[in-house]
Amino acid sequence: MLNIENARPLLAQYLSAHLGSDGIVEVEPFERITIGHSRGMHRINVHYTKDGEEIRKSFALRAEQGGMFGGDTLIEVRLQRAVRNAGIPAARIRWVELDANVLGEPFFIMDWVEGSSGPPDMATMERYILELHEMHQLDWRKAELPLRTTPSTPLHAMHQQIDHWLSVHHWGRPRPSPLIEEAATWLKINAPKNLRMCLVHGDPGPANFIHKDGSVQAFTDWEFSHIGDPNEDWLFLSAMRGRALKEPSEWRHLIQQITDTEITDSDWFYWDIYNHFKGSCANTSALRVFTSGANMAPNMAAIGTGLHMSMLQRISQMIGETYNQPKTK
Amino acid sequence: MSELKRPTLDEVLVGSIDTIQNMLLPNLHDTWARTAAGQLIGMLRYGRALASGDESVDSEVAELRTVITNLYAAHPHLESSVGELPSSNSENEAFIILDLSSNLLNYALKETDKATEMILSDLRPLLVSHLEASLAETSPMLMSFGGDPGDAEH
Repeated sequence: MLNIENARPLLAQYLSAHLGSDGIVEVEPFERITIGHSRGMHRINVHYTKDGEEIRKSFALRAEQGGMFGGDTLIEVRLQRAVRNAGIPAARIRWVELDANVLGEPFFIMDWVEGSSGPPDMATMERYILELHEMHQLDWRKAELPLRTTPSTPLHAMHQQIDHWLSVHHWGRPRPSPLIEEAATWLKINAPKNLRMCLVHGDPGPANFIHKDGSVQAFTDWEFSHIGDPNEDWLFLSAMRGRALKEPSEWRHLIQQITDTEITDSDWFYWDIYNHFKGSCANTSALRVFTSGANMAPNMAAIGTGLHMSMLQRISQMIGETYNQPKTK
Repeated sequence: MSELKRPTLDEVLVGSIDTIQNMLLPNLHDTWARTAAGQLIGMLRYGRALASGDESVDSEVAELRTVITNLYAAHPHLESSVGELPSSNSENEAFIILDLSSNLLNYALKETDKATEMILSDLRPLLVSHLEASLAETSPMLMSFGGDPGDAEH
């Protein structure tokens, strides 16, 4: 875990070298940004002189947490830079440091984006939905996005993601979890026939974008992004991240109104299971992060046990319902 | 009756919870620190539950072994297609039996025979009940995940 008191003077030296300041950059105490658990996010306020001129700046520092959620800083940075170049709102990344010896974890530093990541009003949320829909229309092949994996077909993309999340789960688990293995097989057998391929954010919704005066300033948290079906994003927004603001059925109606995307009941059911599978597998990694000592904070223990299992319970209930229906094989 | 030579683990945990809740939290003003303190109280309550219970998976594995043994007896083809049970003194017994359970659930997703019916009636509900029991133990952590520790003992 990043020790913010130890990291502060080290970051001052790092920034002094990168900013070309006259002397050592003054770094104020880190301000933890209280969203998300995948990465340590901090606001960094600095002041320094350069060629005699006094300068004040703010940055966002995003640090890894011992393999949490199977993320990889380099993949995330490359993709975030590429989507920004493709015109999608994302913060500008200034510097990337992959050597954990510098601060204790790999990290990258972005320009500070003014605005709020707190709950948006509905007009802002509608604007966000429209921009997420526009992101789904991006010609991702032409944009030459640097992806973790590039699928050949929509079904291939689906299987890649199921296998990816299962591997993240395997990394974190202390022993086999039969109900997770069952879910992975169920998802492969029951993949929708109408799958599409587009750039998927993977973790969209309130708290994962910055807004100001009704406009979307930046999409944040790109580490789950990949090529997949847009319904993954719509269900994640509706049934998971957006749940505190609206009921899933209300989101479904709003998404249809704004984007003309109609999600069938069977697709809704499938993507709801998939996103809980993704969440449950990702959460398993927190248990290893906790037990290995990489980050022994209580949120890691809760995510790796209770949150992982509550999602798995939901999956097992939903899959259990399908056993009562006639098989279509 | 023997005298205790030190405070009990539970007393240490209760003292820690009380200190965080009544001495530290009122003086913490940073949002992230307050959230972490509330979560820490939840984790210590989880620790109390763990300290008073069974920390191994031995009893769950024994229950799974019994169900799988019965499945193999009723449907002998399962053993050859899914795998043999390990000896009960095997070092990897828990791992292998959980792996076999995974294979049996995957079998049930692909086949529609009598063996599948038995897997779904006997094995799957047992696995779900184990999950639910483990999940219930973690409820103090889930209740405080948003940073609100609630009152001292609930």
